[in-house]
Amino acid sequence: MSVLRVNAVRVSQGGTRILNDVSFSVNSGELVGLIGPNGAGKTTLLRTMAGLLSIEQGQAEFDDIEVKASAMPILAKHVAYLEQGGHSSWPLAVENLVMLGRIPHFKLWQQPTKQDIASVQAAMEACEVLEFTGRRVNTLSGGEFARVMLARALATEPTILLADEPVAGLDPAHQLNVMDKLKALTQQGAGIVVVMHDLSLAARYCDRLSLLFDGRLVADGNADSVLSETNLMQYYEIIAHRASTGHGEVVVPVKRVQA
Amino acid sequence: MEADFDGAQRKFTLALIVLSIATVVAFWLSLAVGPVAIDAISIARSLFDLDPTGYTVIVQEVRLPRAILGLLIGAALGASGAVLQGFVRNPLAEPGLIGISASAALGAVLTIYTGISALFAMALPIGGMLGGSVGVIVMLLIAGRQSSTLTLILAGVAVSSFAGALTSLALNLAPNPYAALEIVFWLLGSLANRSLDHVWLAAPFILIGLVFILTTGKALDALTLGEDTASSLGINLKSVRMRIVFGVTSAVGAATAVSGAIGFVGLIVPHLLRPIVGHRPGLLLPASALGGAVLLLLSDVAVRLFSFAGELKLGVFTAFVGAPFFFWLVLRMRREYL
Repeated sequence: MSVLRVNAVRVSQGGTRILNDVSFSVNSGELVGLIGPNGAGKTTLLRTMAGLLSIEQGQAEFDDIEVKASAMPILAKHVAYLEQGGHSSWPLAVENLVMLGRIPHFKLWQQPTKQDIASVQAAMEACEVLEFTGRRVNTLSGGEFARVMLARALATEPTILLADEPVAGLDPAHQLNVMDKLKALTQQGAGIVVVMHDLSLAARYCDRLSLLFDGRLVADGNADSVLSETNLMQYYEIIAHRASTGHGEVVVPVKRVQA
Repeated sequence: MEADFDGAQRKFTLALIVLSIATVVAFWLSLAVGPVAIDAISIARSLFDLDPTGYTVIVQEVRLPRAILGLLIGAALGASGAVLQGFVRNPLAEPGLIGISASAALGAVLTIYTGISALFAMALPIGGMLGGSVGVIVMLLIAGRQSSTLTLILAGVAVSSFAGALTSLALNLAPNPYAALEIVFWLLGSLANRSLDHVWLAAPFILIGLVFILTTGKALDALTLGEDTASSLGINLKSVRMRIVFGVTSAVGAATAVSGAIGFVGLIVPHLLRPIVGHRPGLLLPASALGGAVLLLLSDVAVRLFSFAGELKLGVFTAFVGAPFFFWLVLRMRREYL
């Protein structure tokens, strides 16, 4: 049982305070949806947990390891970070891009082992990108590329996955596919934090939702309590239509309200 | 469907073998071709002192230093170009990007300007290496401790421009026309009339630089996905930056100090070889080191063949080959984006 947590962290960037006293954690086996309006600090929280930002106050730790620059070679084997959007500077073949996820496991000048190749195959299969084998990543559509990037993160075989908007830009079928895949991974023991804006998907798939607003964690718990009418109005400035269907909850924003 | 990693690995190994064979052939040509053509057997005998003929002096003292320097300097330029292109993720980066070529050239030019170069043979390359060291220290001081990639490059460009300005000033104020001519000729870049002393001076720095450069392959691969993702994959960007600065400074500084400024090799070679290694920046490093060696050795052979009226300088030749390559690159890109 692993846990990645931040404890009362304060993080600033370029002189602006982005996160204020945020405590947050993800356990293995748990799918946590990190939600909140634009500029709430979701990406900053994710990057802080990934060890990419310096923490002004408070701590971040993975099990007993403090999250900091010098621990990154070890942490990288356990915590994978999937950047929002993402971009490949060189037109690599799809399978070689996915192989980049194995880098934390490589030694200097080491070539991929059978184990590495097996992990890459499995990750590509899971994200339905095996059919793109041999293709250059610059020939893929945005949605196809997003799935390849997810496969890259999964190839690391992390204990904890921090995914920043992994379903943005995907067609509905692949959104469901990716969420199903993330759910299945948590059932195999992984802990996942997923940043998302689709409240229906968040409500339906996540075990727990955490709502960030203006650099503070303002709500944390199950979908019912977090996506309450008051919270949606106060933090998202929307009125939403909520309904239960045979396949779970749907949350459809219907009207903007000015706070 | 299965990803064919073994096939890709075989292709890369094959490419390295072909490049290695090409390097050996180019090295041999560098020993064989010149005013006197020497056959392979005589070369072998001369190298190992088996047959003290007239060839021994030519091979051992004239052509061997030139061939070794061609090999080392070509490798230094090719690998440095590849590592900087991979690091800044831009195919237009070249070995002079962080200011090392210009400051090494300035150091060497100053020894000519002051007349120190006439005092002893090694004064000029030593001056070059001192100039390069000062240049990179200034560059690092300007960039500051928490330097990002961008500030590092800007500092490099600043140092380059300033060293270039000082070089022009030295030319402008040259004590006599001969000194000016000597400076200009030296700046054009050449491997002619270099001795084994030059080799001993430059080789350790170039080899150490190459080792540092070759340690960054994994990091360059990770950087394909940007600095954030690379860090999250456990890459220490600060350490990578310093290894690259040190490696390129050592290799290119020593190369420039001995040969003068030889352009285009570090720019073209990674471009040409990138498709062969599947655009993977890590694998491009060893390939570009070998490719740079082949290109520089062959260019140096060509220079000897084409020198009818006065010696053609190596740097001039590589520019003549390099610039049309860019015409071709532009034309090819135009087709691709139509």
